Amino acid sequence: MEDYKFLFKVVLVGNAGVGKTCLVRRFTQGLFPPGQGATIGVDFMIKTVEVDGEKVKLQIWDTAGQERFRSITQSYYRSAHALILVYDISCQPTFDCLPDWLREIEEYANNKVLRILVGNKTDREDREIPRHIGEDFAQRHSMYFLETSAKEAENVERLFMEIAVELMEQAKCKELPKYDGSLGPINGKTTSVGDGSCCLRS
Amino acid sequence: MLKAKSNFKKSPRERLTIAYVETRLDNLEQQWTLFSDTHTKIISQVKRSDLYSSNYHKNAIYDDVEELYVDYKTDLKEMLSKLNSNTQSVVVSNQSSSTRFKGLEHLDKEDSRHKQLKHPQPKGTQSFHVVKEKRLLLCTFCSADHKITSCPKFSKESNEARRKFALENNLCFICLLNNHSAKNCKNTLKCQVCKHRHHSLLHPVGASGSNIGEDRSTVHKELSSVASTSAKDDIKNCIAVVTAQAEGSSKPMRMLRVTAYCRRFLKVNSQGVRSKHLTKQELDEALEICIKKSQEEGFAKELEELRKNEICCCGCCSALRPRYKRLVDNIFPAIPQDGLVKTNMEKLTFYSLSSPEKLDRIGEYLFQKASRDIYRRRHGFVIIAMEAMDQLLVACHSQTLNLFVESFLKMVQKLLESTDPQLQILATQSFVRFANIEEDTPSYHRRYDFFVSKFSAMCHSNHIDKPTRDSIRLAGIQGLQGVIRKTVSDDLVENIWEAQHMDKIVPSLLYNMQTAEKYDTVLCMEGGAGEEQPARLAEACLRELVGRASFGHIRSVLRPVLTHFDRHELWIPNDFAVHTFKIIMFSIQIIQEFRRFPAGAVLVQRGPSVLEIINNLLTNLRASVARDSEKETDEKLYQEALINALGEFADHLPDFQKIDIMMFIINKVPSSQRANKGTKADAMLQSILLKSLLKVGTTYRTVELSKAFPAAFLEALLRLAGGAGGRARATLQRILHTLLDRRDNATRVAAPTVEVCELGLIVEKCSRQDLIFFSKHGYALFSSLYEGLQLESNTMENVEAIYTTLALICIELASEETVCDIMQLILAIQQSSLSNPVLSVAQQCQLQAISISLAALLPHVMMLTRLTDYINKIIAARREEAPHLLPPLQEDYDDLPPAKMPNKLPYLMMDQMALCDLLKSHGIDVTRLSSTSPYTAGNVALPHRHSWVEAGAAQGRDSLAEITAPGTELDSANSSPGVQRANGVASCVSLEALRRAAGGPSAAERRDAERRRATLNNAFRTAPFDHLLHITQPKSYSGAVPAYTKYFPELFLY
Repeated sequence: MEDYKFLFKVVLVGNAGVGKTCLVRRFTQGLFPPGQGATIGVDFMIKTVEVDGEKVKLQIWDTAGQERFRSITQSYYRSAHALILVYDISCQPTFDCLPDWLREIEEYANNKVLRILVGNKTDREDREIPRHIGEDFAQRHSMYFLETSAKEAENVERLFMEIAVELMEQAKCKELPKYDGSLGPINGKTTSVGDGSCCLRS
Repeated sequence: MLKAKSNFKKSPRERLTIAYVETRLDNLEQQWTLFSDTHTKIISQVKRSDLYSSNYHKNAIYDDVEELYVDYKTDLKEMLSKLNSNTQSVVVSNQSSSTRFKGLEHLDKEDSRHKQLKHPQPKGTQSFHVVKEKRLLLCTFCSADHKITSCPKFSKESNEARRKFALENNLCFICLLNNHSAKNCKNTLKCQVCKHRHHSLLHPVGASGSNIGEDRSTVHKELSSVASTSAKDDIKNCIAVVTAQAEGSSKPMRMLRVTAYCRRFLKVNSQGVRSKHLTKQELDEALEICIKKSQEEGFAKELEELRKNEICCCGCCSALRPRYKRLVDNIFPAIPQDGLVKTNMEKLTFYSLSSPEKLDRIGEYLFQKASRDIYRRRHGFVIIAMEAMDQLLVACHSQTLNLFVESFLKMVQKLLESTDPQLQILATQSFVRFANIEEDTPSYHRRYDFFVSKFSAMCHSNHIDKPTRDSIRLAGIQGLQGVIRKTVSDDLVENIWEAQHMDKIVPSLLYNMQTAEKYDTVLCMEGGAGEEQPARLAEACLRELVGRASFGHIRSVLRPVLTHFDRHELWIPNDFAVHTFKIIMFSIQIIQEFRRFPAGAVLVQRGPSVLEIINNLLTNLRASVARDSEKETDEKLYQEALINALGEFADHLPDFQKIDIMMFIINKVPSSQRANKGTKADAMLQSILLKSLLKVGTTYRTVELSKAFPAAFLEALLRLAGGAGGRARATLQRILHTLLDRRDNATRVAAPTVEVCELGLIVEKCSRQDLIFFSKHGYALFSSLYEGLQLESNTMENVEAIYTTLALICIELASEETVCDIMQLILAIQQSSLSNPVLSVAQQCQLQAISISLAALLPHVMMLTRLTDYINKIIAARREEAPHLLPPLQEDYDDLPPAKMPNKLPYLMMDQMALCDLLKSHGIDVTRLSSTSPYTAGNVALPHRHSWVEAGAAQGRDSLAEITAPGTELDSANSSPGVQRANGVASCVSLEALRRAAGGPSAAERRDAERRRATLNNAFRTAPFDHLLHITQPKSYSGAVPAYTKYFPELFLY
């Protein structure tokens, strides 16, 4: 239970109300909270999954979509290993904002961070964004793409498992992003999160 | 070292055995105390020898030995009870135990290769037998000289017979003594077969007593032989033997016994496991076989027994485990509700204190246990584990904590990761406790990133339940506070000031502060009761944060604050912003107090960052001005706060930096020329910036004027003095006051007066450097001041302010060289009041008043008695005829009859020639005053030309000054020749002549002037700017190049 080998930080971003918190709670607690209020600032969950017989701990940071919390949520991008960019397939504006989000990610997150585009709420009847458009967008910006439904628990498990697998492969290839120096302030001894936390733990 | 240690090990044994021989068997407990005493001694020895690398290893061995001793003690006790009834078996078991010791000794040897460890114990036990057998005891069974427990006859009886006998004789079923019942028996003895609480001889199964002895002896022999050799292969063999025996034995009883011995054997060999001679697996294998066998036999009870054994053997049997693990296990109660077992906790604390090198293992083990409990959701145990860790943390010395802290932090993290708010809060509390401990050893690799992130997240908790939410938030804030405390003081750890941390911490704090309904007055120190509110705590935390920040770091705090305000649009009703800034500023103030001591060097280093901060503050100011807030008062409050902050800030900087700051600020002031578009905001900004400048200026202590006024600064100041609005000019003058005033005279000369003697001015001889400064800049300074006096928009306040400046200059710079210049200025002022048509009557009177006051002041400062007399004469005359020409100044002089107008009273004016004479009589070189030197001419004429130039500029910009232009032009054309004429006739010029000259233009001349003014106006209105420039240039260059550049900077710079 304790001897996980890898620790990965996953941060969910996206407009308010696209279902970030629902995705996280579906995955970590297996429930769909109806009438979930707006997240304030950031929320945090842990889930340990097993990939190829090795324990992988996912630290999932669920950020607030609201504009006014942007300043605090941005500060969490930096330490992320994977960023899940969520939009609502039944809400065009949330899709239209994606370029803005990408810009923000470019600005604040590590450039090697794993990015996944997720169209949420596939259970909804009133789809506005066809699947292929989302796929196109993801391809253009070299992101992974997945459509999920937190309500129906569709693809949620798969989403996180694939992230875990992908990150583990990266880690094994030693290609895991190094966080020191490149983004932090210039004074050499920055000790941001990443590199230490994902090394082997006996 | 090694030898010393082994000696120490020997010595307790030896002493013990000798004591053993001498004392009675019942004193065993005493022996134990003795032993533990020596044990402590040894531990202290170990502590002293802490630094030796091998010590850890040795200590572990010591533990083993000690463990064995405990084992041995129990054995002895058993033997003791059996002694007289069953000598044979005692001998055997004694032998067995002694061999076991041998075996252990062997193991020890292998562990610490070179160690020559001899246990005198075996010898001791043998001698103990000798003694024992001689002792006189009465057997209850056969009345022989032994105890019933070792009675051969009794043991040969059948089990039923023995039970019956015990029952009939009211013997204790545990120790077989006849003076108490089993219920009250203090003996800890247990049945050797089943470990139940009865004597082995009374074990209820039907096997005969003698059999026990035989079996035991055989197995023992085998086991001990194996144990003594204790090579891996042998142990394996032994297992095979045991297994074979177990398989071969058909009788359940025998089977049981075999397993019992097996267990014992395993216990011995667990040492072997530790020394890696034997894998646990092999032992388990052996046991498995036993279990299987017994299962085949199908004896439920035995099975159960075995299960117990199995549990005992396979990991949980306390005897098998290292001491520290046992101690840790012991602190956990059976039911979590019972809480920490206090006494055991004390033992653990004592242990970890006495052998600090075990601390990290304890921590690790506790962590493992707790994480298991978290996983199994046994929160009660988790809380206990955390409590234990806390206690250990607090109890242990800081230098040994290092490794323990690692597991401690891991534990805290683990708790924080759980979703249970209770655990999160618990973890935070522990963390805070940890943060309060001062560590003296730095840990470079420790990271607080997770904590910062998590605590910030907690600060934003929106738990459904409000109390829970509050407590989570509270915990989050406390955690942040802890992190700050922990990291700030230590440069080697993570830099908390980095943007990535501050971006999390500061918004979280602000967010919590925001939620408070009302913002209490800032300056109140937080009362203890208020701590419960997240908002209050957040506020305190922010204070602390800012308080701990050095200058360079304030910036990193301020930046997130500003972004936060932007994001949450908190600017508009900006009371929160004001509140926050007040807090920040207040905290800065507090640190300033601290910072007084490490002066100089530290401050110099901070230099560049200071300007940055100032810049920040100014940007804020500007932003606040730009916002046309409806709530004027709030805005004002905010600005006040900022300005105060600036002042505070500057207060603690070295002087040269203050000047830098002032330069910096003045560069930020929008120039009056550009501000002429007249946006209200610009004017406001200007005045605010000047206010801040004043604030900075007040903190500055002038030593040398030339340092206080670097050329560029002075120039900028003077430029403003000419152009700004009335209030701004007054402020500017105040800045000059503060900078000029070295001897606190400013208040004394705040208002003009002729009674200079009563002012009690402090005058000192002015220094050489100041004179140099004056000769360089005095000219510009004076002309600017003169200029200031000529403005139509002057109020009394302005005039007074300029008077004060001049008076201060008089006081500060009065010397023989400067007196002429000052006198000249005074005369010019007097003259202008008569001849400048722009000025109202009131202003004219005011100018007269200040000129006479200055004239009175100057000789007083210079100790020129004759001059004083002359001035006094004029003053006396004025007092009689025209008191309005004397101070105090009045706002208006409405009731003034035309005859009393200043320009109608030329005989009340000061006369240049007379002044010249008087000064000469004082031995002062008056050539500059009296001669027609270009400077003199220029000085008097110059102000007029200034005004001309300025008027021209003003006209070009369509300002209200257009009327001034021709007027002053006229004036300059008019007065300059007049003076020159006076100079030309030199000293013989009469008062009449001067009066004529000063009398002002005739009516005809005035008409002429009107006409000229009209043309000039026209010209300026119609002509393009370049042309104007062309026209004005040659004239200006002739006499007033510096003035020109000063007033038309844009022509040169832009």
